[in-house]
Amino acid sequence: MRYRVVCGLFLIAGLLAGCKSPAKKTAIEEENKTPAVTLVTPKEPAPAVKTEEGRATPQQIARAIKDQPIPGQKIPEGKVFKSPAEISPEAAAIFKNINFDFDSYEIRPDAREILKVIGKYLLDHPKISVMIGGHCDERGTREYNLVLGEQRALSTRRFLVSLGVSPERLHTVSYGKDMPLDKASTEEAWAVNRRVEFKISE
Amino acid sequence: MKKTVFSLLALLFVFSSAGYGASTIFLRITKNLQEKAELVILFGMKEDNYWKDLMKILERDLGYSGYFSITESLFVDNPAESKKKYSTEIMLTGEKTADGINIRVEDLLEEKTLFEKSYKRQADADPSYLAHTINNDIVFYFTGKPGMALSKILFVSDATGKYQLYCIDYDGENMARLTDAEYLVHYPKWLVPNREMLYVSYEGGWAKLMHMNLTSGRTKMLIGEPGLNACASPCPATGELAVILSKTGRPNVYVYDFEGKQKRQVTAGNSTDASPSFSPDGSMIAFVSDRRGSPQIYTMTKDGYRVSRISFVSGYSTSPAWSPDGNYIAYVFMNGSSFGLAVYENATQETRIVNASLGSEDISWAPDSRHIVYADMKSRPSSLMIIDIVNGEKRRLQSGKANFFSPSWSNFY
Repeated sequence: MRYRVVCGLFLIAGLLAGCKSPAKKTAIEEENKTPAVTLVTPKEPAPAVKTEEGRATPQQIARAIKDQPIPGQKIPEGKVFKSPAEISPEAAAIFKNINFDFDSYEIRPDAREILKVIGKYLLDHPKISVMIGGHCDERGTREYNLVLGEQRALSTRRFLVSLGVSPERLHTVSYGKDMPLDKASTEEAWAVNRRVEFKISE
Repeated sequence: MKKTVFSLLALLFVFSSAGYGASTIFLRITKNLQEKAELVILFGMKEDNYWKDLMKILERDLGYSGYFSITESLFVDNPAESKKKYSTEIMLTGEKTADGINIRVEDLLEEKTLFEKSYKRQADADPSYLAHTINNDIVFYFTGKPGMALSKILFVSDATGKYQLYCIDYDGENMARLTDAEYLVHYPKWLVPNREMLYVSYEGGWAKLMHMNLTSGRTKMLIGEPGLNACASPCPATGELAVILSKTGRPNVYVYDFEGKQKRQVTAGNSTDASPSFSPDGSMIAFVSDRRGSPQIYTMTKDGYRVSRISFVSGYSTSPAWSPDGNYIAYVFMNGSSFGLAVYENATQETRIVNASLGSEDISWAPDSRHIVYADMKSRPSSLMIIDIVNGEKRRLQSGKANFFSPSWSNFY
């Protein structure tokens, strides 16, 4: 499990440095060749930049700022995400929901302020991972809303990476329109339901 | 002669019908797409519960098919004599044989037998399988398209307080719950008709694509990449499965095999791509994308080439569904506060609005490429409805105190 994560990092670092992906080759070589080779290979593809624990690389930050996709991250086995309120009143005050316009996954100015606070907290607490849950209002069709909710979670993730949070700590899930906070069919309810919700894991 | 009429009945399904022979009966039918063929059913055996039930189910099946209007159905001593009293277009007679029933369909005007077949009575006390089979044979004879009487529909309901997956026969019989999940389960789709399905499970905290064998009840994860793993559209003809994954950081269309191995990434870029739907031969994929601003329906080759937009009726069009005969792409469009149903014909590139305010949301075709099941979101709680896209007739499949939605019809053949 950990090996795969490390390989993934090498792969990203390698690609960004402009050389041919060493990590994947290494894995194949490891299977096919003698142990002597295996012992040597993992040493050489050192990442170009060493980053502090829990922080994004400058390349990842650059990608996020340019709104380019950041590959997803598998949830480590056994990791449990809880709602911030279950963790502490402090967490609940920080990990507030952010809201979106209809059929949009753009991060609004009001959401930016909330995300800056969340980003700072995550940089101060490098062990915490976050499950970013995207939600929609009831007006769109079900399956399209499922994908729209994922887009909301993904743009939130990119924004947090642009603030320096490592994408490894940020996971996404979409519930489409199936978990509304307010079941009424009013503008107010829809505005509250178009949201990203955070769950955290220590 | 009459036989041509019925191949034309099938043809009236192809909306543009100009150019074909100008017989009076053809003109009558093409002028009025809603017109059904009149049919009388006479059974010539002792009226016991088995045959009575069989007649009732067959009559209902033939009515549901949309092609026939059953004016009378009864038991008589001698069908050969009794049928002379009727001036109906089609006469269906059933006579007892040593081990079952002989079904004969005749054109009374021209005194011609159109269809005749003997069926064995099943050991089963319930005649529905036999009745459905007879119906499907008759529908196939007249239309060249599979009947829908043996098909089943998967759906989601919150009847237990949580979303669970269910299965129901096309006529509303035999509803069965398939899951008892603690976590969220959703979006069931047939993989092998009436036997295997795919669905989305949130066990473990994110949306993974699962496989369930309905016979054994065994489940396994098929695709569980980081992020979204959903919107599955299998193509049994090629063994390929179109899905939406967000593992690279954007929701894009991918093609996998049925074992859960990636074959290729089909779309790339920053847009929201959703709901791929394979053409039945597996050569094309219809999908939703917001690449030009609002969500619209596009088609492309299975490898992602020749992308072309086909929906132009609304600022919000989603849920494309390729018909099993390959001729149409149905989709849902937003119309004010409601949803309408449109059908795009591939050959003519023309779009027909079936109903502009159906309230339809999730749609799925019947095997006959004539009916569509949908979740009616105008009703609260939402119900499952079936619409005949030729004449617009609607029939309630399932409704009640709970919500019913996300239907998937077993429509491969």
